[in-house]
Amino acid sequence: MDKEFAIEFSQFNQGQAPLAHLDTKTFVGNRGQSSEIKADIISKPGFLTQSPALADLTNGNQSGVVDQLIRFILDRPTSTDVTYAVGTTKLYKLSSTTVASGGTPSWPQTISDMTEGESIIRVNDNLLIFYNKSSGGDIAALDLGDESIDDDFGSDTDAALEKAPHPTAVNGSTAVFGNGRYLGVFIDDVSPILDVQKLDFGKGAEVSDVVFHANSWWIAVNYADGKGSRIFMYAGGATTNILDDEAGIGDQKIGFLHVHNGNIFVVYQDKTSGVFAVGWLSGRSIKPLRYFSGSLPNHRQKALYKNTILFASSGDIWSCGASVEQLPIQISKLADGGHTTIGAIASPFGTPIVASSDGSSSHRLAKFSGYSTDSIYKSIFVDVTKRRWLGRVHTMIVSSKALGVNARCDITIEADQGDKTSTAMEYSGEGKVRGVFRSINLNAVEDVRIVIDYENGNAVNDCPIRKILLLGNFVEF
Amino acid sequence: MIDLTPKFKGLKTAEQELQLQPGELQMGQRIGGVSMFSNAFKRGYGEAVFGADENGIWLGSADFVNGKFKVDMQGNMTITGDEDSSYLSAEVLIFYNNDVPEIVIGDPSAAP
Repeated sequence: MDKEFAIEFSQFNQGQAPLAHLDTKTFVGNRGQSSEIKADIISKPGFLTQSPALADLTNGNQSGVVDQLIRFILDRPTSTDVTYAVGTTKLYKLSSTTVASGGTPSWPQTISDMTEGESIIRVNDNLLIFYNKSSGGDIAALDLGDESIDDDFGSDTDAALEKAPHPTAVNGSTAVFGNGRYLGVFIDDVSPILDVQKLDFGKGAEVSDVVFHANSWWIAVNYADGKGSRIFMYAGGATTNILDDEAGIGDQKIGFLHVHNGNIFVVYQDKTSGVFAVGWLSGRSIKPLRYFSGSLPNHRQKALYKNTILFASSGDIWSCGASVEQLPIQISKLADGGHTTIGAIASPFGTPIVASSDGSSSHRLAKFSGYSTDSIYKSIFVDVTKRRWLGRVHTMIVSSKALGVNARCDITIEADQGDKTSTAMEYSGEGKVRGVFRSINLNAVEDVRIVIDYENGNAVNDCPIRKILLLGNFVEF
Repeated sequence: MIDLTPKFKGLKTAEQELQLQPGELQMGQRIGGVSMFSNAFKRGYGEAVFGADENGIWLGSADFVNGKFKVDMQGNMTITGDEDSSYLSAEVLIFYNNDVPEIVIGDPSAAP
């Protein structure tokens, strides 16, 4: 009988294994898929490397001007290197490197009575800032010319808002927004038209997100806190009171919608099983694509990054999608979100910006920068038994990109579903592309997985791994 | 040498996975500029729309209720201008001036 075996771990771009959200010690998956991951597999497809680190923008924490949780970042610049963000009580102006402080007007600007910023959209020469108060909500308007703010533009023009999430979308001079059970419409005309209750989805309904696509508004509505959700289609002119079409999502709660390459992606939760999913709207069906664990992100916590959808879940930043269409769709935990609570994610200038808070006095507005050493990858477990024989790994061969100075990762082999662990093997060395390890202190075992840990890695030079090959032999036991 | 590399069948590329199934129609499918919904079709944009739904057919508005020219399912026709309008059915023809009937031909009780 052939007593030698080989296991190749490669093609790390495939992301999390299909059942990893249910079992962190899963055996089901492909050669490159992970049972646990916090690493970057989308920047250099085919290679596994460290997560991006976060660097605070100038003035971007409580020592600067960010003294509260930023809840929404406008995901497109209003002019070169300028965009805006809203926190709990203030409106912020920022560039790709700096949160504005002082000046005329003096930044950040307080919006009277605001307790929760919800969203910002640009409609022609104005920004509309949707927010909640201790009771109800309102819409503030900022003139992009002199940056003066009308705190209660909404209630002055039509009426106050509900105290609820206020997702928004804009197409030219027309904007729609969620307002609890209602959809509101704003049309910027010679005489602006604002109707905060244009469409009524009924008692118990809550609009969770809105997007514009194919000349229509697509409205995600949750009923009874996620026990029955639907996506409605509404004519682009937003003047009629009649909806065009509808798709039932079922007993699931929609977190957000996202349009990418002409497809509408839906992130939702099955509350009966606690499972979260990324799917897409195919006809009148939601086709699930990939699953993840953690918490349900909302309309304030999504962005595009390297052709994938970035979103927040339980304080971490996830990525879902394929770097190019010729690769499979992956889902993976990409990076840490900073503090425990993520308020907003956006990429107005290309590089993702993340807002987070510890819920107390520490807050930050940071962007991806450099490499994090808080990064790890664990493969799926592989059965190494053959009838009554157990497997003993005697050699590990690692292939990588040419390493820079101080680039490093530590690789261990876990066995018997984590009951045994080899000594960590350091992979480092400037210019290194291949390493062979022969002293692996593991006896014959039933199953193995590799663990690549970057805790001793470098913040400037990463350690991209292309392939790990385990060689072993069967031992009678 | 026995290859124990995990192999999971069924991994498709993104290109393959993000495709409509044969026979599947997108919501609000468009054919030659006409939008086809589950209970209506429309052509146009904003208020310059020609449409048909369970109420009838209409022109000049995003929906039937505000149509400038419309015919309901019973075949009754309404034309609405800025101040004037007209109504035609099998029983009556009425020209309105500021919502006041000015010319009536036929049975006025048949008017809406």
